[in-house]
Amino acid sequence: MTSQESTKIFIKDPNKTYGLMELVDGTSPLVEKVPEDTVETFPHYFLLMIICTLSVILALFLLSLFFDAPLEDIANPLVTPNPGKAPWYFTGIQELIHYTDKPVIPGIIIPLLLILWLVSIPYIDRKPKTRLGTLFNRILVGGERRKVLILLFTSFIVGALIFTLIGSLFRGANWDFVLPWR
Amino acid sequence: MKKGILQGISESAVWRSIFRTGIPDTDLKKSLFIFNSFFLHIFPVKMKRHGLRISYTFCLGGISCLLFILLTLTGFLLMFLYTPSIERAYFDMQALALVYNGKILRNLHRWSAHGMVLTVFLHMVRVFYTRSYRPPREFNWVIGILLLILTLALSYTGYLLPWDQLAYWGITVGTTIMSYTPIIGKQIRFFMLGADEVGHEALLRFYVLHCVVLPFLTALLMAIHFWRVRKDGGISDPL
Repeated sequence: MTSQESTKIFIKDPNKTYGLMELVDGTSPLVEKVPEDTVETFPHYFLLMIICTLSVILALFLLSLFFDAPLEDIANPLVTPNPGKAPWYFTGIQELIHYTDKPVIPGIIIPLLLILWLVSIPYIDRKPKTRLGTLFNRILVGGERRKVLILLFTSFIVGALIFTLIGSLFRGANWDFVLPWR
Repeated sequence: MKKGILQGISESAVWRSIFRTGIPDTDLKKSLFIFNSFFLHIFPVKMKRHGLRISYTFCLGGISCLLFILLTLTGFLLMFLYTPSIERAYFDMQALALVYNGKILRNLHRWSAHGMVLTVFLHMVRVFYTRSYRPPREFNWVIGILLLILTLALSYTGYLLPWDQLAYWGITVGTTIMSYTPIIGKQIRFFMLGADEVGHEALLRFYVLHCVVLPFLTALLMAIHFWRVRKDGGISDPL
């Protein structure tokens, strides 16, 4: 909790004098601060962390026990697989490239713009100070409830999900549409 | 009062020379237990109760960090069994089947890597929807985006190392996309591969990037990321 937040609740009135009113039984060493809703990291958080860690490790071991990492034939520049696919996290871009004959747009420009936009999110979504700022805020963020920003971000997530899924699962030879269960 | 064995050990001079705090049975000792420990000192001694709610964080940042540690450990072991040359790389991968638990080691590394790409991305999604990037946490969001890019780069450079068809053509497709960059596209591809085609030079470059350069950068940014979480006031407040 920042000091700003705590002073909101306990405003010191310079016209009043303060004295010791009561001794309170407690385990917290906090003085002159708002009672915080905190717990000791040890053991509360560590218990959670250990459970989480062990579950993830167990899940990974089970996964590794039953599913082998793929290893195809040795690399051969003379044998081009059809289709040649990028790793799954880039198949969305590959799928986008398929729709256009200008691969620079989905391949380079869109990813770069996306990164720039993601980086700038905290600098776009701030409390506006000027009237122009308020206008920009309304267009780019959508006010205090940031409806525009949430809409844009959610479309980005859903779009990335859909194109990645299509690119990695529903594309076969010559990048034709196939059903993965056929 | 009779002392238990544990208490006896924890009060002995040798134990106390290593761990300064005894059994953490009071609030003060619980704090010192974390405060005095090299490994735990990045944690706060107290934290907000809502930060423990799984439905707030889904532990995604923590799981990403855990996966990075697991990947480092399995990566170290795999480095003992792997040679970055086009004559040997593929056969080293096949030979893993002969190494005691070699296959499990590779599977763990592979699935953890895919998992880390997923959890880092989902961590970003979580931070967005909880609006945790707001001041004073703006720059930590930027570091987080850089970490996402580094995670993708780590995964991508590792993708070539098995030197099978999947790796070779995955990297060929990816670096071809890079070559679409206007004006300097060809140069970027050449810089990445060290040659015009994916070959020995590319394998060596990707190996050094994957095992040294990118993990070091990632660890450094992770340290700053965690440090800033503390400096910016711990876990963000709910909306």
